[in-house]
Amino acid sequence: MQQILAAVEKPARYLGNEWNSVHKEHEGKVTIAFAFPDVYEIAMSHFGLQILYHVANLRADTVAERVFAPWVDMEEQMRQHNLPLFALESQRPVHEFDLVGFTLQYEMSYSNVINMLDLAQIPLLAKDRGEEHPLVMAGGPCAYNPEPLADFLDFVVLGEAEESLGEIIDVYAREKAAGHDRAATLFALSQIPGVYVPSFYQVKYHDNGTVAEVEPLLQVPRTVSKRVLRELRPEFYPTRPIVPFLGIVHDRLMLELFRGCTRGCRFCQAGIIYRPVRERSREDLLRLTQAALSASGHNEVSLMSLSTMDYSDLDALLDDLLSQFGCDHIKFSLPSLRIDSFSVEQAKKVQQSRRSGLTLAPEAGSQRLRDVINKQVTEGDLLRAVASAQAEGWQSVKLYFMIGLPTETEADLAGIFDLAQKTAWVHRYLDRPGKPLKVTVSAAAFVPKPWTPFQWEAQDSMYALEEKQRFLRGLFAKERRLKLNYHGAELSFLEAVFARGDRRLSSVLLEAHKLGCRFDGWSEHFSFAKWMQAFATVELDPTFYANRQRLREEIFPWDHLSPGVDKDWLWQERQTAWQQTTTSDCRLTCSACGVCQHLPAETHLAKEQQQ
Amino acid sequence: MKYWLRYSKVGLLRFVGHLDMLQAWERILRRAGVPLAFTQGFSPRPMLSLAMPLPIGLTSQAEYLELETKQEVPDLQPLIASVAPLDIQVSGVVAVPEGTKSLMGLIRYADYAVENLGEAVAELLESFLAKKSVLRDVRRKGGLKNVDIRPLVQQAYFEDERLRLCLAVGSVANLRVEDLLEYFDLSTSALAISRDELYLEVASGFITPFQYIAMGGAAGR
Repeated sequence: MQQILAAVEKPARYLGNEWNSVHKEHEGKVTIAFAFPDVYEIAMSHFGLQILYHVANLRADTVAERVFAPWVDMEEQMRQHNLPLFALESQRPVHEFDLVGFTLQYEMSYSNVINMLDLAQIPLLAKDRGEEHPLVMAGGPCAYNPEPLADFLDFVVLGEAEESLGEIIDVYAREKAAGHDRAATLFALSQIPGVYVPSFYQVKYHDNGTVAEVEPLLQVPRTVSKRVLRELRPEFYPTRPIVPFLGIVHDRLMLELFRGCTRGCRFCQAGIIYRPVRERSREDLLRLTQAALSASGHNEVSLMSLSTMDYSDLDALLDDLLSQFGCDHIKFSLPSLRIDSFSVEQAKKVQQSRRSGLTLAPEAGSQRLRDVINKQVTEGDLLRAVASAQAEGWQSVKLYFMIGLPTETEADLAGIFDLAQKTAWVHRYLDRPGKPLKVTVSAAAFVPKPWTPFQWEAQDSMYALEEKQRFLRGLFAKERRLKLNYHGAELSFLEAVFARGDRRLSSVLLEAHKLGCRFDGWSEHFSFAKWMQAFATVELDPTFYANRQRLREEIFPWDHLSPGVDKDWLWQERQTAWQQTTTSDCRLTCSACGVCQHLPAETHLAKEQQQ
Repeated sequence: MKYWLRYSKVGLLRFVGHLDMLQAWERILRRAGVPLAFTQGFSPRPMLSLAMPLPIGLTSQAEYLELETKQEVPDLQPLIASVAPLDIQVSGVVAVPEGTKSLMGLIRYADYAVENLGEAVAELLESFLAKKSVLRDVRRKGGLKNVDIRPLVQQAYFEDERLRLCLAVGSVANLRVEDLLEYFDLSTSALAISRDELYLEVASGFITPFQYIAMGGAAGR
C-alpha cells in the first residue's frame, strides 16, 4: 500500500486520517461506506456527505467511512496489484461493508458509480449479488430519477436522509440479527417511507418506447415520496467536519443557511426537489459557526444555500459573523449573488478583496425569455447591480446564461451579447464616468430535468446547440472586452439522456463501462464515440430520451418517485411559461405546488417578513 | 512573539506536501486557539513558515515551523498536542529573540537516513567519496543544471543497513537527497527515507536551531 501511494499523484487523496475523520471498530456494528463517484477534491467539497457521515457516526452501533473514485493513476495501480477498492478510514475493502451508499449529484458520474463497484469487486448488477455482498444504496438529487441505474442499485433513498438513515440502520440491524436474507431485508427496507427498491417494480412499455405502466410486484407503495425535515435541527449539523490535508475545490467551512428555494425558476430541479424553504435561526448559525471553526481550524466560511441572499435575516447575520469572527481573520464568502444592489452591498461587506470578480446569473438574454423561465430579473436590475459593483471597485463580472431554453429564438441569443455589452459599458448606459468592465459570459446548454415544469420539453439537438454556439461566437468575436465560454454539446446531450432515462439505459451504462468510460465530467477522459458505440451495441436511440417532445399524458419513468410537487402543477407551470407569464415567489403567494399540502413540512423563515 | 517549533512528521503524513503542511499548520494553530500574527496588507496571511521543504514520501524527525503570535503563548506545546494529528509530534518549542533572521534563511545542512540498503550501494558510495568532484545534471528551477555534487555531501556512511547522510541544503548550496540517491541508481519511492536533523553553520561548526537559540541566537553571532 505504501509503495502504491508513493507511486501516485496526490497520495493525500487516499490517506483517510484527516482531522475529524472517524475511526471505529467494525466488530458488531452496522458498517456503511459512503461513496462519492468522483475524485477526492470534488467529493470532499460535498456538504451532504459530511452531514451523513456525521449523522451515521453519532450512533454507537454504526461505523460510517468514506470512499471516493480513485484517480486514473491510482486505479491503474489498484488493478495491477489486484487491490480492491477500500474505504479511506480503515483501508478495508468496500465489499466487506454492510451498506454502500452512493451520492448521485450528476448524471455524468454514473459511469464512475459502476467503475467503483467493479473496483470494489462487487457484482455490478444487483441481481447477481449474494448474501456475502453489501446492499448498494443511492441518494441525492439524481435519485429522483434513478431508473438508468435501476439494475445496479439495491435501493434508493429519496429526500433528506438525516432521519431516514437512522431508520434504515435500525431495520438493517434488526434483519441481520434475525438472520434474514437479502430479499427479506430489502422488503423490510421498502416499508420505510422514502425508500425505493427498483427490483420490486416492473416497468412495461408501449410499442413507441414510452412507459405504459410501473407496476409494484410486492406490497410496496405505488408512489414513493421523499423524506423532508420539518426543521433543520442543529444536532444534525457536522460541527466536526473532516479537514482535508489536500487543497480541495471548496476548501472552507460550509455554513448551510437554509434548504429549499422560493423563486420557482422553471428550469431548476433543485428549486423543486428541496422545497419547502426551511431557514436556520441566526442564533443557531452563529453557534454552529463557532463550534465548527474551533473544531476544524478553517479560515474561511462559505454561506451556502440555493439562493443565499434570500436568507430572511441576512443583514444581521453578516454583521454578527463579522463582528464575532472578523478579528481572527476569518473570511466569509457568498457563493450565489442575487441580481440586485442589496446583494452587491452584502458582498462588499464580507469581501475585502474585489479581485475574485462578481458572478451573476441572468440565465436568459431577453425579458421575454426570462419571463418564460420565471427568472424574475430585469435588465435594469442587472445594470444597477453591476453599476454599484463597479462603484465598489469590481473590475470584472461573470454572467451565466443558458442556451437552448424552450421558446428561444435568435433574438434571445442576440440578447445575451447585448446584455454582456451593456454590462461592460454600464457606466455609459447610466451616464456615469468610468472604464469598461471585463465581462465573461458562460453559456451552458439547457438540460431538461425530471420534476421540473420543463420535463416535457425536447432538448435542442446537438446540431442546433452547436449552431447557436457558432452564432454567439460570431457576435462575441467583435468585442475584445467580452469573453465567451461554453461546453461541448455532447456532454449536455448525454446528461439530458440520463436525466430523463428509463431503466433500459442500465444496459447502455454497462456497455459503456466495458468500453472503459469513466470520469466523463473530466474532458480529458470523456469519449463521446465510446458512448455512441454503447448505444449502438444495445440498440437504443439516445435522441428518444434527449430530443423528444413529450405529451402531457405521458407516464414518465420517474412519476412514481415524488418530491411532493404535483405533476399537474408542473404542467400548469409549463403552460404559464408558454404564455410568457411569471409565477410569484412562494414567500409572497402560495401557488399550491403540492409540497406543503402533501408533506409534513412548511416554509419556515428565520425572521418574519414585513408585508 | 516569534517561536520555533520542532516536530516529527511520520506515518501516512509523509504523503502530505509542503504547501499542504503549511495549510495544515494554520488549521492546527487555529484549533489550538493560538493568537497568530498576520501580515499587513490587502489579504493578510498568518506569519508561518517551514524551515525546509520535505519531499513527499519522506518522514522526518526534525521539521521546524517558525510562527509569530500576537502575544506570548506560554503553553504552546500542550495546546498543539491536543489538536494535532497523531503523526505530528512536537518535540520542542523555543521563543526566538527579536532580531533573529528567519529560520528558512539560516539552515545549511540536513541529516538523512536511508533504510535497508545493501552492499552494492556501499561500494558505489566508497568510490563516490574517493572522488574530488562529481559533475551531475540535477533539476533546478528552469531545467537541468550541471553541478558538482561531491562537495555538497558533507558526510556519508553506513551504520548497519542504514545509510546516513549529511547534505547541504538551503539557499546557499542545496543537494536534494533524491538526486544523490538517483546517482546510486536508487529510486526514492521504493525506499524508507527520513530526515533526522537540520543545522545552521556557525564559526564553531554545525549546530541545531535550538542550540543556536541557546547560544543567544542572533546576539551570539
